[in-house]
Amino acid sequence: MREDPIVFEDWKVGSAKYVNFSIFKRADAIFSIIFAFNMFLIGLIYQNGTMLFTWLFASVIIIFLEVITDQKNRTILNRLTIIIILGFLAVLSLQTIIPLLRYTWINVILSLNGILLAFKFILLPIVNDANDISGEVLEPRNEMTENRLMDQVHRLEGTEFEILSSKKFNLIYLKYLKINLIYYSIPIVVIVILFTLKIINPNFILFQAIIALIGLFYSVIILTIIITWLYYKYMQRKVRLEDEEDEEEEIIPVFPKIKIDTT
Amino acid sequence: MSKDIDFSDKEEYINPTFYVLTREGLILLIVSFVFLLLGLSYENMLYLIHGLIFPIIFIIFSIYLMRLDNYDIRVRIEITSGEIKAKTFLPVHIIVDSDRNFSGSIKLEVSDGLFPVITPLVSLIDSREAKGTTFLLLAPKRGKEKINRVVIQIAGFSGLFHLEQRIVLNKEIMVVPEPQRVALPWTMKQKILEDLVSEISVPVKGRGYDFFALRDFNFGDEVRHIHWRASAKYNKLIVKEFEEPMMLRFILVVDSSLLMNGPKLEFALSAAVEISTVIQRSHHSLSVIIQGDKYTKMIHLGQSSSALRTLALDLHNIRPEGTAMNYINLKNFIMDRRLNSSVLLILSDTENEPNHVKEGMMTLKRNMQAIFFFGLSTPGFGTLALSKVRDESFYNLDQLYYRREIVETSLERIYRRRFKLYQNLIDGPNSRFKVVKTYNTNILLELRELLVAFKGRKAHIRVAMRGEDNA
Repeated sequence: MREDPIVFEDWKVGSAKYVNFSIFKRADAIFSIIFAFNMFLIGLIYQNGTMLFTWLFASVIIIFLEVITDQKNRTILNRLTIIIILGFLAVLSLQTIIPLLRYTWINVILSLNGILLAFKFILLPIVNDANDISGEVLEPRNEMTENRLMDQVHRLEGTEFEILSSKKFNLIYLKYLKINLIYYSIPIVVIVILFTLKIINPNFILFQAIIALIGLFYSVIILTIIITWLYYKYMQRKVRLEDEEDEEEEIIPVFPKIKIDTT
Repeated sequence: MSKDIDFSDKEEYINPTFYVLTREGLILLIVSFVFLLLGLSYENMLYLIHGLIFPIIFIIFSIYLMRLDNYDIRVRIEITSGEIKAKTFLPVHIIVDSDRNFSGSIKLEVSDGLFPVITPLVSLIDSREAKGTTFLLLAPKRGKEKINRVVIQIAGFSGLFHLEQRIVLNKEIMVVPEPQRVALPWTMKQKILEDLVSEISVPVKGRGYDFFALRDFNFGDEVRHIHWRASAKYNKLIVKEFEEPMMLRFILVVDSSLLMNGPKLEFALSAAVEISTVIQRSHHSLSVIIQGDKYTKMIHLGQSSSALRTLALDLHNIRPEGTAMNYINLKNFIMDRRLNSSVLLILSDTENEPNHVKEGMMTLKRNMQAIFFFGLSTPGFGTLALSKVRDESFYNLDQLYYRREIVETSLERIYRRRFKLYQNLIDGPNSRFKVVKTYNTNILLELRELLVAFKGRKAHIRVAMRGEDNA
């Protein structure tokens, strides 16, 4: 927002107080800490020095990044970077104990970590939405301005124009969140069922078939997106070029008249 | 995709809905795809689980879209007015209606000069809880603002992929000058104008309605003008005489040079509207001149009921031009239109070069009936860079002391000297100078204060005339 004395003499920049961020912040941090603890536990059980060192180090970074620093102003890309770092750190550290991973109970811990990471993924768009909803608003700097604002709000109350009260907004937001979580929980349930079947029967043929189907569907969708995007860019360029041509036609060259003083 | 719609204040739209994959959604899909590949190559649960989650969500959404044949939503947008006063609120009401239940979000896209209060520019809707939502926007600055479009997101995964409807409004909101901070009762405003007129003009007997004097009855006087009570008292016929109504011509000059940019210009334009409201209801005439360096604009205030609204609309898009007000251009403009012998009210800056003001006033004083010069003080209007620095930003007490005791006091001294200089330059038998020290005032109150100082003017003229007679 602009720093203008006319704008900011009575108002200051604040944020809407509808969404409580601390819940998301805590959830996100707890998921990361449990993830790091699980990996540390695996290192402890197998007495693997690399894993112990890596995940002690990672825990410190996670606590610093996700607990101490301010989460509200973090973009979705910042959050994604943390998840990618966690994922690749896990890839690298697990390299040392790959021969031992055949034991099923280790796979259970790793599955739990997978679900935790999936939850962290799910939190990304939810937090992003919450960020938008509790976006910047102007707040009154003095009592007189606040009274003026409240007068306006009371005046609106009697009409069709009704500003959502905090209570009603929270009700809608909880519903919105619930619907989103139901949608997100469907794939997790599907995955858990698939993997349970896979653990029970390692040669479970349906699993391979579903993975292959997902791969096919996925590549088709990504290709469609890329082609649509390229087509859109092409159309945009074409429209722009046509516009420029039109503009050129309209321009009539005018040369300055030169007046020669003969006197 | 979207089309321009002829906007009326209460309109219902049925727009095409289309599918949107956000940037974040695309990134998440790609990242989970990489994890999926890693998981498959290592046969590791950790990568497979969260690698699979987004593709499956995406597939569910695609199947949902395929099943969805028609998702029409009707949107009604209500805006109270296309023009508002600066520093006031503009409510925008959006009602969304559909045959089926839905939940989602509404996003309002507006120009930079409109600021949201209470709720941000994004709000949630749920057809079971509330049909619509109201955004309250504040327009702190005069100018032309715009409500660009309304984006409604429904049925999807928040922030990743959803159905979207975009309604292009391009609705222009004209923000006219704000009212003066101090509101005065109408009777007081009228009294100030009467005082001003009586100070400037000398009453002459004539055919008006205001009482002027009593005199003896002469043959031919109208019977209805006889003052019966006085006649009975003095035992002879006495008639009333009336004052000729004075028709003064006021010219209000607003300096629109770059030095005035910001709160000063806003105050000046607001003052122009305030003075116009008083003069419009009287029998005097008023013209407002906006004078920059090369730019001059004159707005004549008509007598119709919509004249004030027209004036405010004319003033809403005034932009500063040039470095200083050009007095020569102003004088020529006034003389060309034969507006000389008017009462000039000037709202200008106190940052101009004194010699420049002196020369300008010399040319104007000769041709005008009276001049009232209101100089807007720079420290008072908070346009100095220093006034933006707050006390909290000083960590060092010495710095704070330096600011309070040395910088601010010396500034005060400098400006006091400057105002004194201006006063010496402008004050004369038919002209007066007054500093407007703060935004939180009313120009009519400043005028009243000036009139108190102006009281001695008539005596001054009388002395001057006597001197001429003696010579």
